[in-house]
Amino acid sequence: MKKTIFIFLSLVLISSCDLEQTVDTELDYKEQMVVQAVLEEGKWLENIFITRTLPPLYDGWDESDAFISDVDASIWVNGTEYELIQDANRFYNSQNMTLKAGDILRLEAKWKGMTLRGETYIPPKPEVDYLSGYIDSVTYEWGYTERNYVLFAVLKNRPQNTYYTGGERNVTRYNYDQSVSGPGRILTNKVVLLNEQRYYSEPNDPWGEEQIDSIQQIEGSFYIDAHTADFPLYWDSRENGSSNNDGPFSVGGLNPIWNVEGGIGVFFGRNRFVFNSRDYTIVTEESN
Amino acid sequence: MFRIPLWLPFLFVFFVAFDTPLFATSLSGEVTDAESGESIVGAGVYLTSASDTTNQIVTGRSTTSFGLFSLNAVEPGEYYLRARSIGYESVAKLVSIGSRDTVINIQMSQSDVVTDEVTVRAERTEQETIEKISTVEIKPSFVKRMPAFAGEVDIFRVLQLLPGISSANELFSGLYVRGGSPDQNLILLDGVIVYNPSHLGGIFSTFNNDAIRDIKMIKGAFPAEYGGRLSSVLDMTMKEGAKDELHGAGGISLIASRLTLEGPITEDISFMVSGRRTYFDLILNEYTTGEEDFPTYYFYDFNAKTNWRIDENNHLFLSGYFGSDVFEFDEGNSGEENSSSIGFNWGNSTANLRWLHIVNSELFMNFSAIYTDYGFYTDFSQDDGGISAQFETMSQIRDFMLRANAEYFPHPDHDIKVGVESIFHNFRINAAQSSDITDDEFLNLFDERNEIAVENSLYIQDKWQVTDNFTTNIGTRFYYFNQGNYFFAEPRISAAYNLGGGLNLKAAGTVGHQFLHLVVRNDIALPTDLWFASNETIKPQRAYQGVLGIEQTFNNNEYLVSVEGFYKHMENLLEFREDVDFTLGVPKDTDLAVGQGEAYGLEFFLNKQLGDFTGWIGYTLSWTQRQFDDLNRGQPFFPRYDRRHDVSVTLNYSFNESWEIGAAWVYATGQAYTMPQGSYYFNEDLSGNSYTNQKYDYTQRNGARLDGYHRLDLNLMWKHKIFDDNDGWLSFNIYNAYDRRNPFFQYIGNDDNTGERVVKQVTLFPVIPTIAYNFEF
Repeated sequence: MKKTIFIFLSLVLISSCDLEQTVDTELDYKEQMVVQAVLEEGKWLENIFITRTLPPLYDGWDESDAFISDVDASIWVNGTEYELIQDANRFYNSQNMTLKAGDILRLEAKWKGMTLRGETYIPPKPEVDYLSGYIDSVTYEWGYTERNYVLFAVLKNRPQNTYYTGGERNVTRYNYDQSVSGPGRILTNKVVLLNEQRYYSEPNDPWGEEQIDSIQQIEGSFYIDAHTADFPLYWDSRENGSSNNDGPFSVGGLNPIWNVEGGIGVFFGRNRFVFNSRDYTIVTEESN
Repeated sequence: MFRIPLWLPFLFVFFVAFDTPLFATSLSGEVTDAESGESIVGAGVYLTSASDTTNQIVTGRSTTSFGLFSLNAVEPGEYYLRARSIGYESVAKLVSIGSRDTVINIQMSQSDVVTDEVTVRAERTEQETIEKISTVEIKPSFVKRMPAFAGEVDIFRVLQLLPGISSANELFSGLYVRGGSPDQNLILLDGVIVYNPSHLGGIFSTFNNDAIRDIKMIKGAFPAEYGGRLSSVLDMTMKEGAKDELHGAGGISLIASRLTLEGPITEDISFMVSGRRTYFDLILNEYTTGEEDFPTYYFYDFNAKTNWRIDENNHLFLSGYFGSDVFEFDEGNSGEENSSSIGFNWGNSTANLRWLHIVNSELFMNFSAIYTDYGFYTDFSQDDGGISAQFETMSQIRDFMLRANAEYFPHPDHDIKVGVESIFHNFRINAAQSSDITDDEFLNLFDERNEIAVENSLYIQDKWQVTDNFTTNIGTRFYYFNQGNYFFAEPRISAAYNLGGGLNLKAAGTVGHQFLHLVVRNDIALPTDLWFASNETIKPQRAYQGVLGIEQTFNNNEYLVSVEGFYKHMENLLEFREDVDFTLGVPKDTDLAVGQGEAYGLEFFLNKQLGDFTGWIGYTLSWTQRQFDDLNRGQPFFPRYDRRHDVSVTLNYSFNESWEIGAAWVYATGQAYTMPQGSYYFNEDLSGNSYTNQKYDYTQRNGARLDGYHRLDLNLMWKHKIFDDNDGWLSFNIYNAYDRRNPFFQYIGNDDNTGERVVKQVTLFPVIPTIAYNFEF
């Protein structure tokens, strides 16, 4: 009897298995312009990529199908229009001017009756005042030591922007953001450069890595990107939230929060500052 | 600041109380089931003159939610005391009313004739104009006869067949009432709030039909006696326990078994206990060696109630509910290298101690002390040999509530209810982690949200028979919520006008607030929904509702047709922001987006209520929208449960005393869904290099629609006698009888043969035949 019940239950379950099928559903295709433009101080209006969306079931695997060459595009810098010309690499550029911090930019691109618009500005370059940091250290019963190196850059200019940081120490490349999600992302003048955990099997026998006892010994090259205040909405919606999920219980996949109208994509100003930790004073902080 | 004097409503009651005939007296009592002794709620009790053959009604009322009635302003004389209720033989007895208040209890016998078990009109005294609107009462005996998923009858799945009530999809039994979300439903079991009424991730509700005596659903614009939620009220009462002898009921289905026992302990004390448990885990254990890694899942629930009749005027009730879902998956043996375990556990516990005190024939009072505990717990642990890790999360709500209600019948035309409630909420969300599971003390709490909030409310309402044809229910509910220091007064009004010939016009308008918010994560499939209390940042939800309806009965109440239109505007709704960083930690207020919602529609209902052949046709035409400044670029969007058209047809036919068939067919517009409307190439690191990823450009949030949903369920019942004169019935259920491949979700994938990109669809349940056996003694 038990076997009969089990077989019956199994049959019910098996009959439920093959429940995935290909359906002859025509997905609506909405053709749109796609813009990617990150413009920086000291550079021309360059590397502006304007393409188009392809049908959702497109599987030609050829990026050039998305290229469009007949876009009528201009950028207004502080009210002066600069026409964008497509180069051999399919980027749209204008090499008639050099961007500087504080420039206000407006993009307008017209194609097939559609008009894509975006606005941004070039944020001020971050200036580092000094560095600070601390080392957390825990030694476990069986001998290995866990150390956490945390290094901040304290900026001179109280920002109206958001900072993303990265750097290199030894062979490892780091990317950090000052991750405070939510609206009104905290605008701070103290950004994380390094937050690195290392494990040592014995106090004097590091796993191929120097064991640093003082935060002043941290050496490496770092950069700080100043982004416009609306950049985190795009970045966080792309990296977090439910935008990168299209499972059955999600809302089905969402687009990142774009900062352009009349199409999709991003049009941002950015200002990057690159430096070496050796060039700055490093103040030791109390660890958490 | 303008303040409403709290004594003002009571002054009104005082004047009403003295507006009664000088030499009149009162007749009161309790209406009970003759066999079980259970109180009968909503029975019509009325007096007709003994000398008048026309049966002209002198006065009449419905029994209260505790089975009590009070007829006042009765002049001395001889009368027929009559009572009638759904599913019972009508009662008429000659009574003599003197100059002093009289107490007469009425016992009613169950009718053998199949009578109306679903009624849109709750009260049926002969002359009364029905002022209740959007109210549906369903007998558990009706639920039992409807087709059941996997053989397990479910109250929520039957409620979803009513117009205006829908489900998100067939996996979830959660109720979406007139465009509201499930957290906006006030779900009461014996007056106790149940926060998460679902088992098995939502497939079944937590309520065991065998333990329930009354089910009342108010789809909107509910009276002042209910509050704290925006959309609807589901008020269920547990059986009190048979008073004559031991009775039982039980059933065996493919996934669970259940047993209910009830009976007297002494002459004045009765009890009811009911339990249910799934046994898939036990079957799995029986057929696996223990070496394979299989997940373990089971749920159980347990209801208990005892009723002590201290004397004629004092009753004491103690009831409780305990239910839990347990999921565990262990890979490898605990403590061994490369072993891991995942555990989820969620459930509700409730308890209610209630004292019913009959002060006199015109005033009934109830005092309750209530405890509720809802918790959701997760536990992950991993052992990689050298380093072990453990992670635990907890989301818990503990409520302690004190409630006092009074029902006062000062005048034949006024039924007054007054009540006061105080709820102490404790919300706790925390997350803890350890990097060494061998050392229990090293489990560090790294994130916690612990809030204690107090919700106080006071209400007064008067059901006023203004004229023979015009009835209103006017009330106000006052709220004070300490977090954020919110004080609100919520006006509630409903009215009905009897045009004669069984035709009634109805209207209602209400304002409501909700201080608790359920926020649902969209990115994972676990019941990680979190409750947040209002505070200075999170404003209380608010709804304005209006309902307009007309109903007509035909053929001596055999048929009922009703049409109701509704409009609901909701404010301060919460969703997670699109840029929120989901972690296993504790969400912050700033992770939430605030918006508003709107729902409106028309509901049509044709119900054949009497006879061997019963059933209904329901149709809802509705629109539901949400608008959040921080979601969908500020554009309005349809929530997934928005349904333009929703049709349900239920039929029940008794061939004879042994065979009965039930059928339910549903159709609904496909659910709103987000699908790609294009694809594009994008450089993810924005560095300007040439490497790009192909991405999808999605529609607006829920900007696409899945195909329409339809399904037919059948239930064939064979009733017979077992062990002398006890009832048994075998149920053959077919879920999705014509094997409709309804879309659960769609996604873009690759064709298995050609490799081309295609749209793929996943169906949840094909045709599923099941069998179940039930019995009663």
